[in-house]
Amino acid sequence: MSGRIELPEVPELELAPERPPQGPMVWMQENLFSSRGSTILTLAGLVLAWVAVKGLAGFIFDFTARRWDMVTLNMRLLMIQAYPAGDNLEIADEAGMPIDQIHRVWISLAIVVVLAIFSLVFWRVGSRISRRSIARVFMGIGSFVLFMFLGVPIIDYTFPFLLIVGGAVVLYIGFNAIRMAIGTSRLLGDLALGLLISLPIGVALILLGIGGIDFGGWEWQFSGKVHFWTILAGALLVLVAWALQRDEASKEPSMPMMGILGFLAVVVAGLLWIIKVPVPAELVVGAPKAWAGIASSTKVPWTMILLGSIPLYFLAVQLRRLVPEKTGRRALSGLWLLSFPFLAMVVLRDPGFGEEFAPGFSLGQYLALAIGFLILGGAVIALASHPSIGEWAAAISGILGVAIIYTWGFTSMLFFIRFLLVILLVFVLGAKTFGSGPARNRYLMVWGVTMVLFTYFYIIAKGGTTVDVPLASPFGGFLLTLVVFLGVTLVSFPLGVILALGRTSTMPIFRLMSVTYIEVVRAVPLITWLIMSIIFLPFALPLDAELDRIVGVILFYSGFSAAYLAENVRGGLQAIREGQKEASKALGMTTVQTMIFITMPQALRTVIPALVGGAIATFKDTSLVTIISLFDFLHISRFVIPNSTLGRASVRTTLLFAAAFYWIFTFAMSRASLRLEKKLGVGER
Amino acid sequence: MAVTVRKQERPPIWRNTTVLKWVAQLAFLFGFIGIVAVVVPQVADNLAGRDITFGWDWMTSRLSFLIREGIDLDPPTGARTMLVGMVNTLRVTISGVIAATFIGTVIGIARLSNNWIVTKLATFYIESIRNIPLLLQMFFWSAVAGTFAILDPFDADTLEAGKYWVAATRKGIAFSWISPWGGFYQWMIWVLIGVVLSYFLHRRLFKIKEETGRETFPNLSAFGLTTLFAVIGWFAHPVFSFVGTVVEAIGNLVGAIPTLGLQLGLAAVSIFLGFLWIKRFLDDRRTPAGLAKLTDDDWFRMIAAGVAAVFFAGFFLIVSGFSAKTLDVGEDFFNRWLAPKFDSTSNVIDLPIDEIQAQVAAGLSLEDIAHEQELIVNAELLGLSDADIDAAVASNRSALQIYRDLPDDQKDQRLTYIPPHKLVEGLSKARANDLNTLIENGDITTAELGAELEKLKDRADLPLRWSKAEVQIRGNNFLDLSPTSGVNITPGFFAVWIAVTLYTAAFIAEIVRAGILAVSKGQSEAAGALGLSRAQGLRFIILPQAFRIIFPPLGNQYLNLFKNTSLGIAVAYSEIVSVGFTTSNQTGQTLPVILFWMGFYLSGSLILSSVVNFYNRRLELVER
Repeated sequence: MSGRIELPEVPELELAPERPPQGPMVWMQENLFSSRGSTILTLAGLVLAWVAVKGLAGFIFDFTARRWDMVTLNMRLLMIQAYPAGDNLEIADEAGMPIDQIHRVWISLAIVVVLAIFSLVFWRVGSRISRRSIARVFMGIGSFVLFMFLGVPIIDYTFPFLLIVGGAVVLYIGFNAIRMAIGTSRLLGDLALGLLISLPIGVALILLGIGGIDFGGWEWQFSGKVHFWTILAGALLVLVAWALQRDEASKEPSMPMMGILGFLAVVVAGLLWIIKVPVPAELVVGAPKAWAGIASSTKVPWTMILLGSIPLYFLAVQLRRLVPEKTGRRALSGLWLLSFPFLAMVVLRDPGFGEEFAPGFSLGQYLALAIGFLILGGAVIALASHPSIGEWAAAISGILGVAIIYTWGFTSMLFFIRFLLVILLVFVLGAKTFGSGPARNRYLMVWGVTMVLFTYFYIIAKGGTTVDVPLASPFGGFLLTLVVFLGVTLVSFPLGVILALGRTSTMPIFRLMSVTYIEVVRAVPLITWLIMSIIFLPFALPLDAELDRIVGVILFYSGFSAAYLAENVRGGLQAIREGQKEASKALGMTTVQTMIFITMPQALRTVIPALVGGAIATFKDTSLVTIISLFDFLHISRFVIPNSTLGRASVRTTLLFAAAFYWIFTFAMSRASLRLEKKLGVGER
Repeated sequence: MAVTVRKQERPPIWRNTTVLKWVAQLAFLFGFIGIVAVVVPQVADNLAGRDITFGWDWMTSRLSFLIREGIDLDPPTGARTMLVGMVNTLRVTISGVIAATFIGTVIGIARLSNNWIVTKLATFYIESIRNIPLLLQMFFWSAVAGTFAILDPFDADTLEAGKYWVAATRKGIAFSWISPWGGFYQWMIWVLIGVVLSYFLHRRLFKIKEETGRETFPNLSAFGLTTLFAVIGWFAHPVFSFVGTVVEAIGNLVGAIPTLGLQLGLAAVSIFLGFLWIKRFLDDRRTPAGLAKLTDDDWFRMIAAGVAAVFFAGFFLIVSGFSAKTLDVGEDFFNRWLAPKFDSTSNVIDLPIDEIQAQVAAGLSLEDIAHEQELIVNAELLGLSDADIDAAVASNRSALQIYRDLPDDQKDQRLTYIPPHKLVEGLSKARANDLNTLIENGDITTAELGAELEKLKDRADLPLRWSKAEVQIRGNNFLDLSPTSGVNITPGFFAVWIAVTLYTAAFIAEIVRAGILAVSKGQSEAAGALGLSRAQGLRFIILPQAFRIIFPPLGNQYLNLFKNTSLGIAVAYSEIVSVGFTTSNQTGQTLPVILFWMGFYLSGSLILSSVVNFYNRRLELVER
């Protein structure tokens, strides 16, 4: 027999036929009225949603009781509190506060925006999205507008609403009965459902359109007519958006994300000039005006930033062609790192070499010290990274350590020298890990750059400033929230990693200490640590030493946050297989090198979602500094504005604004985290 | 061919990893101790510079501030002040945990509903609540509580105590409730016996049902038995009035233990426990081939356990005050706290009714009598002689008269608060006020009054009592939370409770959802194939399996809720942090207060997490 093998007849694989696109009626029947229980739930849910939206809309649009002008007029207070004031009283805002230093804030913001746009370009953020997803967003907005404005209590909708719901129920039951009688004819069923939807909307529109109900009692130009047209517009928006996403082609990702963002920037810039809010007459000195732009004093810089970002984007795209992407990314990362101290300088000090220095300060002395350290320290580091030096490097670090303890604990030497010694020790300790072999020259260069930057920042920090803040601290409002958030994130990260290493270490005392620290800190609520930073920390310092409250808060908060972070990082460390460590050992890596180049990157990558979650929690919990009377965003919304003479009884108004503000940030962060999680494929590899 | 085996050289001491590791660890430890040794004297110096010496004296002396709500509004000692704060924290924690679990589970299931609108609503709830700072939500609810106004709290006429079923004012909400009454604890013994017997009955009936398949109604029978005992106990509870005497005898027994005995006992126990731990540890390490090689870590653990045991033994032996105090507290617990619970008339100024009649006949009001009786009880506690007490009563009577004669606007509202209803058990505040009015107007004869009081006295030892809502504003800001009133919810409690409940519920909902999704889809399909409805499948198939996954993170959320109640300080709820902060501001004793907080939260967290761990271990699948 030849080697032919008869294969049995295989029936051709039959795929289930693709479901034809379903109309909204079918969708509703499947998702809203699938069973009797489901119908009841839908109706109950609708009533609940109605009550909630009506309550919210009633709250927001009740202009006789709500003081939204308190939010718009106090926007500067909410964002940056008293800063920046100078001695030039001629440049003042509407409330008469000097604002001649306000350009510093704008400069800081502009720097951040520029960096952000360059990063967007160099990391190639922003893909194309489909017409369907955009249309769905607009459908959402449209139905929200529809729902919201139906809920505005100009008139009481409860009765018509109940009528509509009741009518709908009756219609539903009736049509269902008819359908049963005819048999399961889809066409008739759809017709019934279509009538069911269109009738109540029609009735509502007719009721509103006839205007047989009183629209009076409205102070601003939000008349019944506007109300009607808004509702109609909402309905149209929903319909058009729905039509736009019906066809199959709408699924294709065709719209560039960045283009949409640019378009939004233009729209927002335009709206800043158009939208106006009512202003109580007593607020305005001189001629009373009833209306003011939503960002009256800041629309010029905002417009500049928003519109300027578009050409900047194209500039960055051109730059990306010239500069290798990797170099660009590295440079940007470095700039982001530097931006924090630099912005602090922009905000607090005059970033040039100011003329005024503290008494007894000599620039020459500092420069000489810096140059001396640069050369001597460079020599020491070069020595420590030399392959033949062996264990003597440890001896050098030991000597440096003793010198540091001596200078910090037992002398009153210049703080500049003390800090330089610490930096040098860090570099010497890292020399073998980072600076061995071909990496030596680069390592020395990093040392040089660090020295120059540190000296620069130190001298500037000692320098004079033209900012004169009437309050204890230059930070306040949302700026303070940001400062605490960034400070805590930056400080707690290394601390948390060290604690995680201690906790997973095989050395019992380190482990015991880490475990004790982590468990004790986590068991006690954050607020007690914050209270401790104000009622205990001052006593732990020498009597003459003064520490800014914010610094104390950031220190204690970081200690708290680090304990949580350590637990997250520990999860990542434990997920790494032993083989990784063994392999790196086989390659001849030291323990430290294994940890830094092999273990840590993998461990951190696994726990990025958890770390972002921790950062979100930190952001939310910065609001706790309100309790210890720091003037953060929440404190100003809860106490400062409502307690001012004009802002009486605006607590719930400002709180709602604050809630929306916090919500936008945390929601955006959590969405970004989700996307990152998907991109990294955590748990899939 | 000869093979030369090179002898392995021991590395020099500065390269020996064991030595290096231990040197590094010890150096770090001593460095840490050194820093503490520098900071602590610094703190002491700085405090001394402000005339504050570290100590615990404030725990035994009266702190001069009032607490807004709790078991004691004007506590006599600092320790009791802190206790009020702790009880308030636990109150809001426990009620919050129950409510958050319920709401969270419902919303978690709703997120997985087939119904589009229900899913969207649940998502909306979770996303909005989770992303807004808790403190902000608390502020919002506190502002909302400020708008409750069914009754005007400043209009005294509208606020008659014990008149309403529900009363809401800007100062809080009050509603009628059942409260334990005189015979409650005796009745509870009956109920307890019923529950224990029902447990055994249930087990037995259930076993029969499983073995024979005969329907034995285990749940129904158990419930019936408990109810039966509760009903019998309702009438027969005085049978157990002897328990008070027994408890007192136990208390006396505890008091009779010599301090040295307890000291030695505790020391022996700690040494024994240390020994036991080491022995168990070694047994664990023992393999059939003998004792396994012990690592540095193992040695460290054993040494640490030994040192800890010796340390505690030494502590108990040297610090005799600890043992003495423990005995004191133990004795007080039995004699002063537990025993009176079984005596239905103990916490009332129990004046014989004919005495009350006589005093009323002499022209005193019920209020005056109650006031004097309290004075006498307090004076007796202080150990004053009879003559002194008489003098005090006389001077009090004249002082009271002077006070009564003052025009109304000069009177301090808080001082006029005298509890006439405490004269006779069963006399509600409203009834006492009514009787007072009758007496003042001369509408009641002393004989009738006696009959009235007698009638009330007969009902004094009922186990439970229905009390109408009582909102009584004392002074400026205080709700009267006397034990006989209905339930009172202050704006602070309301804000903290609703905020932490809703906030934690959002997180619990996500946990529940994840847990249900983690149960494989085949399970729900199998449930459907068996003919269970979706609700039945959820109840009997999915949720029990999901619960294993849900439970550990759920425990974490409970811990978070417990810690989050500390934000009550921001909305004037008198929990432990708020009370402690006021204490520390008043006395300057920052460090002891901080230590107290840490101790409280640490032990709370440890207890909660050990309970969670215990159940978690019971829930774990036993794998073969």
